[in-house]
Amino acid sequence: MNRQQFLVELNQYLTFFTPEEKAKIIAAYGARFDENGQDSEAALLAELGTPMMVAIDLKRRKEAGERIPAAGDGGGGTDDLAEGIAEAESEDALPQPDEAEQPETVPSETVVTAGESPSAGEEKPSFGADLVLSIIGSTLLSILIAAFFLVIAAAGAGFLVAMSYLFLTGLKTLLYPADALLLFSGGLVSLAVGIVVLWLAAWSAISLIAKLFRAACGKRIRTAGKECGV
Amino acid sequence: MKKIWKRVALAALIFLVAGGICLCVSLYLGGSLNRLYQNAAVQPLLEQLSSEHILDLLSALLGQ
Repeated sequence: MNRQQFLVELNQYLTFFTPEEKAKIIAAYGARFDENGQDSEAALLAELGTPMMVAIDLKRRKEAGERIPAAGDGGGGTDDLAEGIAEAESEDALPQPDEAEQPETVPSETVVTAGESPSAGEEKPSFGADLVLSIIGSTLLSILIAAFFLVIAAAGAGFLVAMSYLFLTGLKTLLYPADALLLFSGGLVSLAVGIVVLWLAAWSAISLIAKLFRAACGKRIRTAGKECGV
Repeated sequence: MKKIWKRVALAALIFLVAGGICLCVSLYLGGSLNRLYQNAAVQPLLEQLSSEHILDLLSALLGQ
């Protein structure tokens, strides 16, 4: 991958940013590549990682409020963001050297870091508990769903039992074709209704329970991914 | 899932059409519910499928 491909891919992954922010981020990374020169382009690419990882990291920083205060400071935010990204990569969170802006940025960053470190410390241990709780909740809810649809399936099975009775009696009364056909028609209708009700119950139960578990586990895994910065 | 839905719907439709044809032929041959109730061979089945019997069965299942 070269610089151009990196920037193009990064641009594609920056879906959580406004077009202005996107342009600033791309410009900032372009500037970093310019600073390093072509010789160390490969080294810089290796240092940055994949564009997706960079985009995820930027998104996480935006959500954590690390870069947004700097970017949202009107016209001056352009340089702030660009510099902020450069700083973020080098893990330096120093504010602007501008005297006028310093009082604004310093408190915001201190607030962020102050609010971030305890939450990061608290969320990680609670993730496992959250996952277990959501799985237990999903299991209990699935039992209720399964019980409900089991009743419906029993009704469907009842139709099938009625069908078998109707067919058997129809066979016994073959001497009276009109009666036998009437019983067969009832049996066939029962069979159709029974099949539909049984399948509807089974399909609804399976899809609902699957959605429930997917939502419970998927959400937690996504949250964990965000927390880990993956 | 969609394939199974299609098959189930198709099977149900075929059974319903077959049932409808049987009903039409039966009515054409002079069959009716009143006549069916007079048939001694069908009496046990009609009793089994009567609403009272089904309600009794349900209440017995639910333990009332």
